[in-house]
Order: sequence, then C-alpha cells, then structure tokens
Amino acid sequence: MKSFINKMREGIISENPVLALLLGICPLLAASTRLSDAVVMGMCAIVTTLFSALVIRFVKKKLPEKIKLLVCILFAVFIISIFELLLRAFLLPVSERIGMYLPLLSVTGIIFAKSIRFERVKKTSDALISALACGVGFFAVIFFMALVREVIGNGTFFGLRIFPEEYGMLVLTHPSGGLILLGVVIAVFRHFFGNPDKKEGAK
Amino acid sequence: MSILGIISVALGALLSDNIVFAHYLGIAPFVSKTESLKSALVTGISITLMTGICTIATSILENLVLVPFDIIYLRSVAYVVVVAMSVTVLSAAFKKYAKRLKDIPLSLPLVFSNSAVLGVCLFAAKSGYNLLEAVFYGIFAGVGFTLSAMLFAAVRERLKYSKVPKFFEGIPIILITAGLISLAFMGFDGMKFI
Repeated sequence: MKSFINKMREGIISENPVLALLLGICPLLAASTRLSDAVVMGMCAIVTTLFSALVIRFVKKKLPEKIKLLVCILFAVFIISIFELLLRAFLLPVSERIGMYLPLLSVTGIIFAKSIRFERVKKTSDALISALACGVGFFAVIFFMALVREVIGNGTFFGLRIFPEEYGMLVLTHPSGGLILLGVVIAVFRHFFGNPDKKEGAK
Repeated sequence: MSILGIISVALGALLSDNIVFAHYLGIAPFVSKTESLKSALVTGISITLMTGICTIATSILENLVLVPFDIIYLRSVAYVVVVAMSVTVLSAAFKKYAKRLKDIPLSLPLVFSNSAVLGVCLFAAKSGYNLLEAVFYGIFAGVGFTLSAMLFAAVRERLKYSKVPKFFEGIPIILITAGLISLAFMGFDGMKFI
C-alpha cells in the first residue's frame, strides 16, 4: 500500500507527464477550454496509458526493436478509435470539438508509456500503477487548466453560468491564453516542487 | 479547383491557421529546437518535408481507399500507419543517400513523436480538401511552422540576455513568450481569403 502511494505521488508530482516531462501539450491545450472536454480527454488519457503499458509488457521480448514502437502506437490508436466512435455516438458536441485531437493523444500517450520506462520495471502490477499515476497526473493538470480557463475565461462551470459573459477574460479561451496559463502553471509548480531539469538548466 | 481557393488555403495555413499558434501542433520541437536560428531552420525544413509528403500519401489514401469502401471510421488508424511508414522510409532514405544533410534525418523520429505531421494530415482530411489543396495545405503548414520557429528563435536570442524571475527560467518563460507571439498572430484571424 505504501509503495502504491509512493508511486502515485511520483507520477503525479515529481514525474508529472505535463509539468515535469512536457509531454502531451497539444491535446492538453486543445481540450482545456471547457471542463466537459477536459474530463473526457483526461479519461481517454488514463485508459490509453494503462493499455499501452500492458501492450509494452506483452511485446517487449517478442518483437524486434525497430517495429516495437510502431506496434505500440498502432495499438494505442486502436483503443483511441473505440473512444472516438463512442464519443460520436453518445456525446456528439464534445466529439466535434476534441475529436481531432484524440488520435494525437494516442501518439503522446505511448510516449508517456515509454518515458517512464516500463520495460525496466519487473512486475506487471508496478508498471500498471506507474501508468495509472501518469494518466492521473495528466488528468489533474488538464482539469485544473480547464477549471481556470472555463470559469475565469468564459464565466461558466460545466456549462452553468456563474457570472455574465461580458466579464470573462476572453484571452484565456484562445490558444494564446492557454500557452500563457501553462507557462504560469509550470512556474508555480516549480516554485512548490522544485525544478525537475535543474541539471540541464545549469549547463 | 480554382487558383483562388488554393491561394486562400495556402495563406490560411501560413498565417491565420498557423499550426503552432492556432492548433498547438508541434509545440515540443517549437520549444526544444529553437535555441538558434540554424536548428530552427533545420527542424522547420524536416517538418515541411514530412507534412508535404504525408499529406500527399494520406489524401490519396482518403480518396482511393477510405471513401470508396466507406470505411471513414478507420481514418485515424490508417493515417497513423501511413505517416509512420513514410517517416521510417524517409529517414532510412536520407541516411543512405544524403549523408551531407546530417541534421535532417536525425530530427525525423522527433517529428513523428510530436504529432505535428499527423495533426496536419488529419486537419487536411477534416477540412475536406481535395488532393491539390491538401498538398498545398501540407506544404504551407510546414512553411508556417518554419516561419514561426525562426521568428521565435530570434526572440529567444534576446531572451538570453534578459533577467527572468527564478521560477520562470527555461520552459515557463518560453511558453509565455510563445503565447504572446500567438496573441500577435491572432491579428491575422480577421483576414478572410475569399
């Protein structure tokens, strides 16, 4: 249990895929203008990361190095396609807004999986826990960004109006506001949890 | 298929629909490969090459296979296969035949991992471009990336000599600067080309 908590903390804070490793920025920024999009995208990220971790466990010995990455990406895209079709069936408006970015998530999702180096881990359960932590870390960041961007930028919370639209900070709902907000969030993160690439920054 | 349509697609991809500033594609190389004008140019050229070739491949696939057989729902899987294959073949070809251009093949795997190429192909399909428009869109999206990367490299030269608050050093200030440039690029939004 203790190792579970440690792993989760590692994935969410010290090895957060977005804030520490800078992965998956494109789907993160694209889906964080509304909370509903962000929740869907975060769920997709968690499921895809879990599945790609599993697949990497399965294929790590049986495939030549050259096509291993390709096979993993294909499998991730396969899972994402299921999500795409489900979204189109049940949540059409969300699918119209973020459907474009789901396949891109699969490409970065597999890189989440690669980046925490599941192949080094001995037990499958450990690899799954790190994958889950990685996905939850992505979910946390995207949810926070969407909260700020929707509430302050648009004046709504899950579509419920909090204050009139004219008082919203419109720039936050645009791409530029997303980039600036992400920069500020990373700076605040570094203030509290230290700079993950300090060694690189020194040289 | 009018010339005006093609010009509007190309200008849109270059300015108002710039892949970095309007669609967040390719942020990773945009942040990590723009320390100098030269590396920005090399990354831009390899991305342009890839987007050009991959949009040709994917729009042929779209028009000859996916639409006639009514299997549009396989689009993302098919595109990923085609794009990955093109990247692999191109980087192998470059390694063999163009030894003098050392920098370009090295950056090709990076190009695939950052979703810029796949994103451009998917956007071309979503906008319903025909083959010629898709090719122009692909090439000019790459040129737009090169333009923005080189602009940004020039800004970063200046950033090197300025005092930045401690926690903003590195990635955060780069993202904020990119956001400000993107704000400037929003000025092109009002331009409607036909």
